Amino acid sequence: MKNMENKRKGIKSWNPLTSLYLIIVLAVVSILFDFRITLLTVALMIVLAAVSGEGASFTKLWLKSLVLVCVICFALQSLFIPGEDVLWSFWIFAVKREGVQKAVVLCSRILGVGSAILLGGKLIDMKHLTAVLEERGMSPAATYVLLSTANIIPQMSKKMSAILDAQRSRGIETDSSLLVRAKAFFPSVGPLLLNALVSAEERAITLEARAFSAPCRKTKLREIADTPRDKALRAALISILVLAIGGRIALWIALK
Amino acid sequence: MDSIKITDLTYRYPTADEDVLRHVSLSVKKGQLCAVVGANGSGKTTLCNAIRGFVPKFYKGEISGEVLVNGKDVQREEIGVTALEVGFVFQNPFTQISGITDTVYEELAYGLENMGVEPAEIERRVEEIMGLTKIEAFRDRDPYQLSGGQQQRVALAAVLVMNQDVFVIDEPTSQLDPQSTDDVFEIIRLMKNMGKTIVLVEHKMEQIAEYADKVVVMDQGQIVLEGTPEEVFSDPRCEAYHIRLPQCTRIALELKKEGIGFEKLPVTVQETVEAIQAITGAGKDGQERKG
Amino acid sequence: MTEKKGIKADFNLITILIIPIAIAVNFICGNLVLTLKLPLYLDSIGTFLVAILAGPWVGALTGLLSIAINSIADPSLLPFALIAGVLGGVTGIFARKGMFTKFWKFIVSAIVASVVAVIMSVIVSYVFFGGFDTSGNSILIAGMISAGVPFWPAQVIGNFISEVPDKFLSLLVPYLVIRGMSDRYLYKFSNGHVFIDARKAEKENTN
Repeated sequence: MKNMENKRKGIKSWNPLTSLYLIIVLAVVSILFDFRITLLTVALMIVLAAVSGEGASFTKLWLKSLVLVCVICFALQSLFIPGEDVLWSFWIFAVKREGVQKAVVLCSRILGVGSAILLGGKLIDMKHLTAVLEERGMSPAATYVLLSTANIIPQMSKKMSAILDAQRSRGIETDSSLLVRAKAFFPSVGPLLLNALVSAEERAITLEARAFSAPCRKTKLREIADTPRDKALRAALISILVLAIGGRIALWIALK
Repeated sequence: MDSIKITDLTYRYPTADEDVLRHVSLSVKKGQLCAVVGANGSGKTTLCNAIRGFVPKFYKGEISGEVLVNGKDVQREEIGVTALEVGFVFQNPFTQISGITDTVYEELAYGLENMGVEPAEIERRVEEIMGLTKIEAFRDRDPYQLSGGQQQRVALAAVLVMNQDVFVIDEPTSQLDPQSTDDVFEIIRLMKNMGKTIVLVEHKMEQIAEYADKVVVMDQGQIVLEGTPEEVFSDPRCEAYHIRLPQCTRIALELKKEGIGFEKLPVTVQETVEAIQAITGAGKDGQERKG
Repeated sequence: MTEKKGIKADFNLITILIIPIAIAVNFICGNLVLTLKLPLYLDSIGTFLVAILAGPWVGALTGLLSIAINSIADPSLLPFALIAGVLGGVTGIFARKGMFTKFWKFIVSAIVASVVAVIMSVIVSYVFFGGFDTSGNSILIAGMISAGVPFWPAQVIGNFISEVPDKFLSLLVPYLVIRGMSDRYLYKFSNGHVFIDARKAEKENTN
């Protein structure tokens, strides 16, 4: 296990709290200024992902979700936001200057914050992050909710597909008419929901049995290192954040 | 000294119309294994929950009487504090996984983390218990991916590692196959050898006859019979309370009907063999019949 | 019997355990709808269920978290976490007031929730996406606008069509599930007594 931890590359080797600071700084900087800075920040994020060994998976997800959203958003905005100054038109569609301006602002925001979140998801290990946050006073209940959610979704998905298979074998097809498909929904969800609820009660007993609510200081089997480098990085990131916000305010005053 | 002392306990679930426990008194000495048997709905599980303090803390409802564990009043303690005194394992293996660990190793460590044990000590204790309970083979496996029997063994180990003095184990094998049942009882025997006080609800009378120091029969929320396995299983009232006797005892009873006299009814395989040998070896008519 | 009141009482252990389940239910129902190719979202059934059982705070948190967790994979969903949070809260308040104990009350609650949903989605979609997010109703809204419908009415109609049937069905499932729950189970949730009392009252009326 220890070896695997050491193999975490780039940002992934940081203390998760430091990575979280980085993500926040990237997100804030990307929306403070105009779209050119946003594009630069996003480019930086791709580089950071690549350095950490997540370049391909990050870019793939990024193209599939965010870029697609931005393209659709841009097209719809520039075509359908009411405006006077028509830049280009064909058939019943017309691209208007007002629409394009609005679309650039919106899309750079979506792209900036969105990419930062996506990067965070790739670079920060949820388990490590909750461990660090818990050390700093976050409730163990919050840790439980977050980690358990991550575990429960694949479990329930598996059960769901088993139920769906059973439904199929009883003759309910997912490619039949809308009414039939709608009717398939409730018998699939019902047992899943009830089972999950009943098991919650027993799970509560399990947690009590494992001293979940014992009133003592909790420890962690694997402590996450917080090196001097991490502390320095966090200080640097906070300075960047303050400088960026200050710079933005100065720019705003100067422009006025 | 009594590890568990229950005095005149009466309890009713909040939404029920009848008491589920009625004037129950029971004491279990330190190091004893007390088996609780009885028909479904006789109050066995509720009794377990009362010893652990889940009744009335978790389930609410009206309670009277007293439950002392190691001399401490469970009802006055916070529900989380009792975790340090009483280990608790129940029927369903699938819901006894904490749900937030990725490996069996972490699953065993989870309780100790919650108790605030230092990491080095956690490692030492988890290693030790994994060895004793023979679950090292699953060490790095996802607890969710184990079979029911394996999960139940992990659940037992995950509680045993917390090293409380008293364990309450509610029907640990009712959803398991025979092989897993044996594995689970192997762990229960281990617990007993470690000097733990155990309250065990179980339907498998052969195992009870072999492991229990004391058997308690419950019926409609009351304790109706109490004693050593020999005393309880030879009591003719067992039938009225729908208690299935151990196979050996049943064979002995059948033999008795045939006119073979047993000094006392055997309850384990060992005892039956000895008793039959004693009769056939010493008594001439046994040999004559054979010849 | 005296019981602790307030947020603390809402977040008891069983509630904490049910939040992840609710989020998973949201996720799975959302996916199932895609598999079955139904023209709905149904991705808040779990949120509504906990909101009805455990009150507004738990409901709001579950709604927020549910979408926030999904947005790690698709960040453009994040603004909609606000809607889910508000709807969870509103549903929780209504449930506490006993508005899910009878069918006619359920209908009233569902109408209110739908109205809130429509208003919220018009606002969120305008503020964050200029009125055109990536859901299917953007195409509809765009179509209406090019057919000459003014901007705001088009937004309201578009969101009305996508939200109202969805919220009705999403609330109907928890309503039916809770009707089938035993008193013993309901008792563990902070809103449970609302339903138990209503059942008792109903029984007394019929007797």
